[in-house]
Amino acid sequence: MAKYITPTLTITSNKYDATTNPGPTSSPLAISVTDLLDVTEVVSKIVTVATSDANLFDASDYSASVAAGTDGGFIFLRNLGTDTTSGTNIHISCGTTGDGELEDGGAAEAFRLMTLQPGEFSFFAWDMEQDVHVDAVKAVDDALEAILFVRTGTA
Amino acid sequence: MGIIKPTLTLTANSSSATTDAGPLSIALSLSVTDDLTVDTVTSEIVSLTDSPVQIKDGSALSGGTETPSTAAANQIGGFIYLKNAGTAKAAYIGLVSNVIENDGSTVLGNDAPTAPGATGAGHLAEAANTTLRTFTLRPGEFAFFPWDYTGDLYAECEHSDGTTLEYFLFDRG
Repeated sequence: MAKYITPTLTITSNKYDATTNPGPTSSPLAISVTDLLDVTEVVSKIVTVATSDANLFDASDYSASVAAGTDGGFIFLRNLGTDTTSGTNIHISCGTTGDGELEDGGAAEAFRLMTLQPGEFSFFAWDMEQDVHVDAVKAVDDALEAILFVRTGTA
Repeated sequence: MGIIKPTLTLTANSSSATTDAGPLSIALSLSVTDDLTVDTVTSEIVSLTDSPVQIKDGSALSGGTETPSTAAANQIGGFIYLKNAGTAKAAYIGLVSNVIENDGSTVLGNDAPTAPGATGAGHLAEAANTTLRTFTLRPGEFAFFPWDYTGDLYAECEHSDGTTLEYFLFDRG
């Protein structure tokens, strides 16, 4: 039996000359999208982050066949920090192995896909081809909320 | 510079609901919002076929480098909204790292990641962990996430019938 979640995303902004929270464009933005996603397993965790790379989701825990659009899931991530001064930036990568330090510059260490500053969030699909890794500028307890919704049919 | 306000809600009925039953025994209701300071807004509706196309070049966006420093992790990057606006075929999305070659193993670390081919090791439709595909968007599915401009963004349709990909890129202010 199918099991569904309903994600809805809106992105709004005022026009650039608004007196409160002016936006980046001359016209207001109002993007809205919603979908009905068929999922089975839900994995939710609050993660303590450290200053070295750690595995957040291991692809092999969920899928062995990695067929596009069939095997995979949807990941919601949120940096639970609220203080932009004393909080931490959290770095996320997708790779077969960790690389030690996702935040480092240099030739071999820019694996990261994204940086979540305090309060920022993301929602994206994941095909379970490679593992999802997390790293942070400093160690913080209970810093990242991560929820994985596994697509129905994943094997 | 300006402020955008993204809001994401994730809802589900309980598993015993008679309509659109959810995956848990309890109903789910999650909502999160944020104010993001951005400057440039780029948007396009791209027609995809079964050959990969570069949607965005990370080094072009970040001033000529895809190997940003630690400090740059705080400042360089943007927020991407992607939607498969088609109705029939899936879109493959590849955030092609600047440090992995198409065989999934070789560390490069330059500003010109090798583009995924239409076939062969690393192609976006490959069902193996050597693929450069990061995720698949079925028709109607969407994603919203920060991107640090590390590597390049590629997309391809699963079939020659093609599909349509809409994107917005909001550059961090």
